[in-house]
Amino acid sequence: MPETMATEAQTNSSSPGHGPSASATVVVIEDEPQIRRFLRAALVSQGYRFYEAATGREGLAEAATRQPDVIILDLGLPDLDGLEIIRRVREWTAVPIIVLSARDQEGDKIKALDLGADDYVSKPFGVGELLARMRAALRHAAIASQQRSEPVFTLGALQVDLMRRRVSVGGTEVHLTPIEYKLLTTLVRHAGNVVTHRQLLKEVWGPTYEDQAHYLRVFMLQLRRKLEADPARPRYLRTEPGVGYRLDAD
Amino acid sequence: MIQLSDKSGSEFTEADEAILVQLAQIGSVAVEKARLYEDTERRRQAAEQLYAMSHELVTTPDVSSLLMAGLRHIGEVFGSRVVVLLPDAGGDLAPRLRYPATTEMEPRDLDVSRWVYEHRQIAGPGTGAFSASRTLHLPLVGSRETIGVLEVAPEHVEALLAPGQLLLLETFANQIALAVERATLAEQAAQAHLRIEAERLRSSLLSSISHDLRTPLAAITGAASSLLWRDEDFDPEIQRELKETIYEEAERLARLVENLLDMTRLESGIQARKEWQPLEEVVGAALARLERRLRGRPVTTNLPHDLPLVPIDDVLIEQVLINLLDNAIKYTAPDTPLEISAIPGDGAVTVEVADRGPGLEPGDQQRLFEKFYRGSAQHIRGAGLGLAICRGIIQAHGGTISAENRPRGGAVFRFTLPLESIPTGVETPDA
Repeated sequence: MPETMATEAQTNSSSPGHGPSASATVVVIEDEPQIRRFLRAALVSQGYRFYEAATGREGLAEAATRQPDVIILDLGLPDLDGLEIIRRVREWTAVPIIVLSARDQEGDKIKALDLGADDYVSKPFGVGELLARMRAALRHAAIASQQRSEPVFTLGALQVDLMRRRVSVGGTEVHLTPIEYKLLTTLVRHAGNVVTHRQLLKEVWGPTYEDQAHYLRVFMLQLRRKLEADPARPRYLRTEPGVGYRLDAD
Repeated sequence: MIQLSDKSGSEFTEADEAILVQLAQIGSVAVEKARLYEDTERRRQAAEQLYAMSHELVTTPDVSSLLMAGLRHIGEVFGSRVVVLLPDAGGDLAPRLRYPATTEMEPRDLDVSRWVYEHRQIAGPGTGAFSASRTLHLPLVGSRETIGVLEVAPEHVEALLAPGQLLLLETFANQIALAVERATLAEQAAQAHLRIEAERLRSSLLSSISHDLRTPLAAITGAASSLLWRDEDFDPEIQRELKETIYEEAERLARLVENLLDMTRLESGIQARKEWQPLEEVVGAALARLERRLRGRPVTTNLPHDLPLVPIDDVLIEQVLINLLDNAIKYTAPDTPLEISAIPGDGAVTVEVADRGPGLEPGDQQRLFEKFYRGSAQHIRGAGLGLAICRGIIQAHGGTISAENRPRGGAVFRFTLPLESIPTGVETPDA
């Protein structure tokens, strides 16, 4: 099938530290040939084993047979609804899924994330942004499969010691309330990837609070005031308007 | 004729007769003179009344007030209630204005008026048609077509039947018809002018947008083809420049397309999905989106800690801030400072985006927020949509947006976000 083809990674192509750890396998499900072409060029040069599919059905078949480490999925496919694909993939695997969507489809992004997609990138996007999301998702998956995470999370001046439950900025300890701490560690677990309002409310407050987004916003504001030099220009705790929050990584 | 008889019973002499004839002649001249005088007086009065109305008609520009003035004059001069009937959209005659406003006509009057409209002939008492009717029906005949019908119901029909009165009424009606025709033509001309103006705007928009679409496309095509054709001929510096051109122009194109789509969404009626949230979040998100383009520029944010939560659609308000900042980036020098401030007020929070650029041209302040208005700085690229989108979004939030020059140089754009009721269930975070 001409649309479904693997392109082997060139061993010498990726710069150390930027490519995936082993040569990770990616399945791209996208109907636009131009987008597939540029993703192929970018991802192969980064050392990924690259498989592509132009339709949802082919994509599901590729996802099942190639055992990918990450799936890139366009939400607007001609044959199957992208959300339906996420639902079906999630029936058998927790493989990271990164969604490609239009900027103004907040509703679809949130649905995709709540159905189990790991992150999204809005078209048009730069390849650097996509690669950062993929790295974060792969890291997240690796930690989840090992059932343990690094005991200390470090990002710039921010340090979160998960074992001793201590948070510091630039070496100075910051006192967080239990809820603030839980909020921060939830974001740490997904570091680099977006977490929706609903997911955060559910994980921090419990399922009955899923619709109380203003709770979350008030606590996030408080957390920023404690951790950020300028809460209006956050370095760590980024807002994704209409969707959720992202703890910056890299 | 005068009949005389002598009380004494004797015959009139010849001399008597001669005197009498002379007297009679004098008398008849006097009567004639009196009649002439009365006639002149009536004509003078009529001319005055006609003049009074004509004067008012030529100084009244729009058709409705013009008709009302005409009805009032006829009503006063002829002691009548008056109704004007005009054809409606379907071409059917219908009462349009009444003097006095409470005037009601009988249903059969409408039938007579239809006949009058069709035959362009006067009908009613003292005329050759429907003379049993107590209401006069006069066609309003313009130079090109029949405009409508006047129904005149006099208090005393006899007064209207006095010599010359009917003619005078017809003259009034003619004057009104011509004035209405003139005003209608003027209104049509004004409408045509508006249509031409809209057409001109549309085509200038089209040329402005197609220019804005073509320029980045040309740059991308040119740079990409250069790289493909002879990339080994270029030194790395030039290669890098060409690649940057491609990236920047593609981003510019993306912004324009997003703006066009936003405008379309706004015009099809957008629903702001408002939720209570801190302004810090949207300000931070907007600044993050523009991080690359704001590099090297001092940006200050003044968001007081006691700022209340505001009910906003964060995606839309982020867009407003992005558009305002994008404008500031485009219109001011790259090293000049920008300031974003929020000021809590009575029932609303005011947000300001201020720069130290060249400021606004006089007269731009009001028009800046109009769609496709490009301001005086024609050399700066853009479709004139950003601020129109801002206004649409702020209006959807029940707020207002304005712009003015700052006292010590630069421009400030200011919008308000009304606080409705305070959300329930928000407690201060556990401290």
